[in-house]
Amino acid sequence: MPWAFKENRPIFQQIYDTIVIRILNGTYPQGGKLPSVREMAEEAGVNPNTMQRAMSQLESAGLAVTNRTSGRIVTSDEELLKKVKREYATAAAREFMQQMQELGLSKEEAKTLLDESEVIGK
Amino acid sequence: MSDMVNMKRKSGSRPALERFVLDLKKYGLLGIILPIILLIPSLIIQLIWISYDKIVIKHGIDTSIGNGRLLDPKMFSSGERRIIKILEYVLDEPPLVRGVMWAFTIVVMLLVAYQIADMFKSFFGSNSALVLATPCSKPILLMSKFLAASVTSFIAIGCSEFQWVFLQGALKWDGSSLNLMSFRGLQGFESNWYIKFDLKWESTLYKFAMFLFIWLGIFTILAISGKLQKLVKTPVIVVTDIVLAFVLAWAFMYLMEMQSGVDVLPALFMIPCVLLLTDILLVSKYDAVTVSA
Amino acid sequence: MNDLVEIKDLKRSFAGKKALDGMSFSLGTGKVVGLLGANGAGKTTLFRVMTGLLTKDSGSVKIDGIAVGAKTNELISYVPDHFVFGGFRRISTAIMYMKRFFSDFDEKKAESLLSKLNFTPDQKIAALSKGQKAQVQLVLFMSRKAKLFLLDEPLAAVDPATREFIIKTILSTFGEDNTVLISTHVVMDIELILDEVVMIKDGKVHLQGETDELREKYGKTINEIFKDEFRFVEGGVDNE
Repeated sequence: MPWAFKENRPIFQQIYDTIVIRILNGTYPQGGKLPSVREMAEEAGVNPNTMQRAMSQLESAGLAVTNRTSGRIVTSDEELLKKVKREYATAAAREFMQQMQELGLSKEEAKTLLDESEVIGK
Repeated sequence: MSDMVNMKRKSGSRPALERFVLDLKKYGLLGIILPIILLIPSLIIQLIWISYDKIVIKHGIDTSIGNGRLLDPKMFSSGERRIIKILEYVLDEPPLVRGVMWAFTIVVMLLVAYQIADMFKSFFGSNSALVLATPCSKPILLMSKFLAASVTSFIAIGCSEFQWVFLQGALKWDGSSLNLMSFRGLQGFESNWYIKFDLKWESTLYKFAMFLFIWLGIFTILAISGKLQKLVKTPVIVVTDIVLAFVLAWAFMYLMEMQSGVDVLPALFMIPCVLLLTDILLVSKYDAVTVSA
Repeated sequence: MNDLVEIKDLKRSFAGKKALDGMSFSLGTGKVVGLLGANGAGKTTLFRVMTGLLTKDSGSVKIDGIAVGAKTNELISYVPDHFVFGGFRRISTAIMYMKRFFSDFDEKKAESLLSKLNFTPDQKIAALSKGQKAQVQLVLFMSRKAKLFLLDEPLAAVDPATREFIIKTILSTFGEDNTVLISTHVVMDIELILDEVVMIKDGKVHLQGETDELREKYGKTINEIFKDEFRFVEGGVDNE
């Protein structure tokens, strides 16, 4: 997932979300080392302070751990990751359902739409 | 973090020295190198005058004024005649000599113009944001520029004035030592020239006082302009500058008229001293004139 | 522990116009701060007072607890909105100048940044284009280990490539030991790198805050907040 920001919401939160998604989809593998704050800030084109804030939040959420010798490591806690994945997926699903409702589709109609292979494209 | 603390931050003395050396180098070509080069011909002539003196002593010739003897050319050797011929040529003020005179005048004028333009650039123009932001107090900045300008101007003016002295043989050999002459007579076998000249220290100091007056006067105008920004808009400042420049020029002309007599000199140096003090006071509260709007 | 920048009730006027009319704000270290204001709001005047190019009428300006003077110029690296190396022959001459007058100038850093941009030290300055001059000037001043960097409209009238380079340079120079204060009247291009903004209007601080907090509070981009704040400038009529 590339870095894309909506500047009308706190940036550090958006950074956090993007990193979480990357962790969840394996871009930053479990137990693997995260790039330095500076590197990531440069890649994202944001202020290192903002990136640092997102990283700190990552640590408080338990998704990353700072090891004195090896830097910042992505957690290997399967339970936690599953939990977070579920949270994010649920939020995305809720948003999808909201959009379907706005278009006037019922839950069944939305489910049928998902089953139709052309839509998902797999 | 610790490397920041340990880094010696020098403000004041080192930048001031750097600035002085930088300005000295800038003014050095016009102020020191060219004048010395232009001085060489007259130094050579001065040496020839000393040879002439040796000839006079050797043949026991009386060169005092009023002594209108014509000498027999045969009493001189060919080498001695050549020396006399050279001096006669020089005293005739040939184009070569006049050329050097003109060259000196131009060099001195160019130097002063360059120094004033440089002053503008440092305190007024687009470079001022660089110069005034260096870690050097403004009075020290002014002083180092002023000293560099003064040293080079003094040397240039000095060379310009003294080239006359050497050209006309102010140093005379009397058999045992060199003396400074205020009057020299030449009686060769073909000509009868009398040259009178004054010692050039006075005129050097006089011209130097003039330079100080101009340099400091213009800086005073710049400093006043900076302060005027608070009261009037930039176009008015420009007009005021022009008016003040005219006042300066008029005062300069007036002082030129006073040229004669040694007693004028102390008074003449008083004005630059006053201006210098004024400028040092003004510069610490200097406001650079805003370039944009 | 002093704030890096402490400005209290600063006033400065010109020919009847109050460029700075009681400006007050403080900045800590380790931040990238945007000084936002319309043209003529007092941004350049503020920088000129901070660097001693202009004297203040009243109020106080302290950099790291020290009043403005020769000592504070050691701590501040000021990048003006116009090119100041005009009288210099070659890039190497300008580098020599920086080395001589600023003890915190990092010559190696300057040379490496310049070579990344494909400049050579013996290039003649007069032959550089406007954009190139801006790049060279920025590199030279950002190669100092200053505590406070003042950038006056660094992004005005530069091409996108230069703009990106400037932003990259700011981010790589900035660290916990220094603060970069960027004055601009265009916010869009640099929103993402700002920690804080100080918005000024009529010579006074109108709004100050951390960017993410402001985004949270207003639900708008900094650019939108800025535009809204200055909606009243035109004709002075209250639109809300």
